[in-house]
Amino acid sequence: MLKLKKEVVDSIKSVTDVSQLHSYLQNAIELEHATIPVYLTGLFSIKQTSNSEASKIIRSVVIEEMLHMSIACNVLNALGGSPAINKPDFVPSYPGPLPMNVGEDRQLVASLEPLSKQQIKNVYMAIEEPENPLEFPVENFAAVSEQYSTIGEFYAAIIEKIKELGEPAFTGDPSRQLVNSQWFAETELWAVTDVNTACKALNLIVEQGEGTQQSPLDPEKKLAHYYRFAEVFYGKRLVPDTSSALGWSYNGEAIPLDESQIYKLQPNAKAEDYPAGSVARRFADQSNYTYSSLLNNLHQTFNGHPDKLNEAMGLMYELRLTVQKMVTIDVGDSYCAAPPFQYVKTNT
Amino acid sequence: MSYLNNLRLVFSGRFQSDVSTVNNDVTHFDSANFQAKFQEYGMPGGWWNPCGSGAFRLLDCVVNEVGYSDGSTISDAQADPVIGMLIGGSNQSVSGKMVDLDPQMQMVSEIWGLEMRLCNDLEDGLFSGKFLPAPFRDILFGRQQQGGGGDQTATAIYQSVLEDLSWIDSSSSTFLQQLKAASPDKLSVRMMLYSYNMDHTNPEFTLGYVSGVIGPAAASEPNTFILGRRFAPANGRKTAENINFFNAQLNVYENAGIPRGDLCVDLSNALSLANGQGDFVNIGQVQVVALNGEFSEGSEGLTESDYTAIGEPIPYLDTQWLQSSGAIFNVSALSGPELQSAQTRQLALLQLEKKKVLITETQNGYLVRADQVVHRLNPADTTKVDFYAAAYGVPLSGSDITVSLQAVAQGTSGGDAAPTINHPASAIHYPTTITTGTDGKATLSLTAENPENPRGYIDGQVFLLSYSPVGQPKYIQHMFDFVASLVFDNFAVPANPSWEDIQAIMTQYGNLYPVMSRMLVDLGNYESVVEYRSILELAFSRPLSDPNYMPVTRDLSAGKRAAILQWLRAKGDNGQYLLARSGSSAGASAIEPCASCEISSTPPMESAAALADRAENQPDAMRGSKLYASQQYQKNLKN
Repeated sequence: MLKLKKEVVDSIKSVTDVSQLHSYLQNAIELEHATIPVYLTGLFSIKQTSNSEASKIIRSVVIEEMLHMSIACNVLNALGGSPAINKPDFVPSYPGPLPMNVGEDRQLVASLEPLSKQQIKNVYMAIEEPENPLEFPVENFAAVSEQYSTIGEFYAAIIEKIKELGEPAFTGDPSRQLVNSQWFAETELWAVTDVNTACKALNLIVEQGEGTQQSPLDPEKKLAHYYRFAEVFYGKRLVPDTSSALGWSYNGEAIPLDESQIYKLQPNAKAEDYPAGSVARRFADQSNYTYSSLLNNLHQTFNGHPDKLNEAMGLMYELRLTVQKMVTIDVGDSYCAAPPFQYVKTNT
Repeated sequence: MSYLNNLRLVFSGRFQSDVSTVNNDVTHFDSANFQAKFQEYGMPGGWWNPCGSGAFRLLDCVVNEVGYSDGSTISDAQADPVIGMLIGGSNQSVSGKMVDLDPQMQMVSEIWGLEMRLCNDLEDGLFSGKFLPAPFRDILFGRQQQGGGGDQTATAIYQSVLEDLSWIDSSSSTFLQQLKAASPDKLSVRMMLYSYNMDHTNPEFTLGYVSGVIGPAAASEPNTFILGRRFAPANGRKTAENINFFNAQLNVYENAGIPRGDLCVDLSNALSLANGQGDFVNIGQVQVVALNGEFSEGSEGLTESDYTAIGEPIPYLDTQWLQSSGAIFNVSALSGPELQSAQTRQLALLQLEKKKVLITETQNGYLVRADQVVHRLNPADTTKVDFYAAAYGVPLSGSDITVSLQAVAQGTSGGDAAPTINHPASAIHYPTTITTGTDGKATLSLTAENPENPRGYIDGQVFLLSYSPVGQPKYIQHMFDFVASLVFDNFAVPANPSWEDIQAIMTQYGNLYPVMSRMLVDLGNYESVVEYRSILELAFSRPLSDPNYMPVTRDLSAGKRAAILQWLRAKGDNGQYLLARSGSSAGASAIEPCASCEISSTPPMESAAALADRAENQPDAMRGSKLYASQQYQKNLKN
């Protein structure tokens, strides 16, 4: 289980005014976003037509991380805050720690690397590990010291504080809420307007990420992220199994990961790594600009223009098509060019 | 007014135009005979960029100079903070797009969905506006001496206006304050594009250079050309010194009761270029003059009484003149006989060593041009085209303009198997003569009818309307100065469309755009389309002006579009999408990417000379280029 310093949770508990809670929700938005470049790099490294099941699994998690980011924005807006997404430090510098130094307890380094079992185990599963993973069989990660709190506890502290502050805290303009059934089911994304809708929404983030204490499934009967990634790692579906004490085992249909069909992307690439005037540099600059435009657009989406989400979807597909071409560029030493996910202001 | 006046901003940089080329051959629309190789590089095949996305982008476009209304210019950021800032595209939406009208009319490619904004690393946009879609004009092939094949040596101008302006903060810049005061609602913009690279093995592939100018725009002016002075090569193509059509404007005003004039000449698309860096070919000292008699292009040995010099010789050989000034030559505050000559006599460029007339203004300073020259019409649609007539830049009232449909031909894409355009004449209605009003303007009303599928496998028909001023037999026009319309066939939308009703439409797009069909969604495959239902609904439902609009080519009729949207949106009683079909299929198969979707790993750096040589020896190598399309158009006209 990834953890963060206990002081963070303690300081949430000591909040006395809703405005003091805003920065923690901003942290939550940054945290949910920070995983997306990590998973997208893995997704984009898969050669077209290959590894289709693994690809679907990662894609499904990416979409839910986008959902979680949206939920956190809705809650912040409901509490009268303003999400800040259009700034360079919104994006972590990879490789590096996640926002709020989440994972420092186990020296987690969030990195942009091509898909591999090692990356799934060391990064993806580490990020998504539940507080008490159900072992089907999965070894538990090392116990951690009491100086740290879990992500679940982080969200729980926010939920408790919201309940404590009560309905008067919900001063946000309801027209800033993002509800868009075209892209997110109404059972997953709803307008946050009061204590109840806020707590339900934040609980969904934790449950989709971690599952519940009793089952690997989230409330919508989908596997929690950790177990989805574990399926790719173990190469088999996690299925109900009466012969297993926990009722589940990684004994289902095979999910082969053919690593020969993965582009060997340059890890943690930066645009500056590629020579000025090279094809790789042009694609790196363009993918950075498109990605930054996406963040600018989402900033608008969550600051009073929820209809702009449609344009954001267009940008996501433009980014995808740009990167799908980019990863075919051989940059030497058998590496392929990789999208850097850097925030830039201008298109150079 | 317009960008061609004292008050202006000059920028210079790169552009990218990632146009796709499978659709440059009209026979590729014939789905029954479509072959996989049409999506690969080469000939016969998908030509030079089969996997293009259509994106048009401005890259690294730096503001190098601003001119103030008094005629002074500066290029120092200390004097005005706008210097050194960038003109960029949207930073919140997808890229603009460059779009042909039709495979059989590729010489009016428009830029759609482009936002332009003044910005830097600190400022998101001191102003921003939306580029009104407009086609390139005044293209000249071979204008650049050195360079690769195809269109690399061609240049052309995009002139239009920026609308829906937002001004964020003008307080720090005297220039922006003047510009906003002069033109708060729209701005005039010119982009001269040059040295475009079409070699997919080159790192510069799909990139070119742009010289831009932005200035005020008046409501009374046309949006897409200069209502001013028009310089025209005598043969309608280019002069002996490779000089192209170009424009000038004389802005006359009173200062303390005395008439004054500022002359601005746009030479960016005029003089021959030596190379891809924007350096001009040295043709000696060149001066703008007003001719005191009848002298034709090429006349030599003029005496001083034959002309009145306007200003100093043009500094076109100054280092980086194109980049720093936009190649706009300015003479401010003309007065007295100089002004009178400039107002009433034919202007010309004079080569001073030989006293040779390099090029002249049109006879009698005459100009007639149309503003909205590209149309997409559904049956029963009516649209308007504004024509303007002027003499020496002054609007002409009571001037007659005749309009006529071009002869049946194959346009820019022909061959034995290709259909013909410009018929049936009954599908396009327009008055054959229009007359300008007191403002020098005449509005043509154009109405479309169902052409009833004269081209078979490709929807609708292209109609090219030529126009010319009555009583001006010597008036010289650029060969692509016409009004081009794509009129769609009628399409009856089924009450409850099923996949079978739209499959053929989707398959054709899938064939023509491998960037979609081989990298994202196989448009001809039911399961694949169903998987991407949401994004397809979004793309098919955006307004035409939206850069997300699908199809990028904007060649889908209203009826077919309605059928597709109805199919994508229909829900059953249970609230689930119906996505109806009558048959069944074998299911989705994985999309195999085509080689053209991949970027060659070790680009062989072919020299420009080798490329030019290859282009010369293999006439087909540059199929899909504007050069090839232009040659086809001219060849087909003669057939």
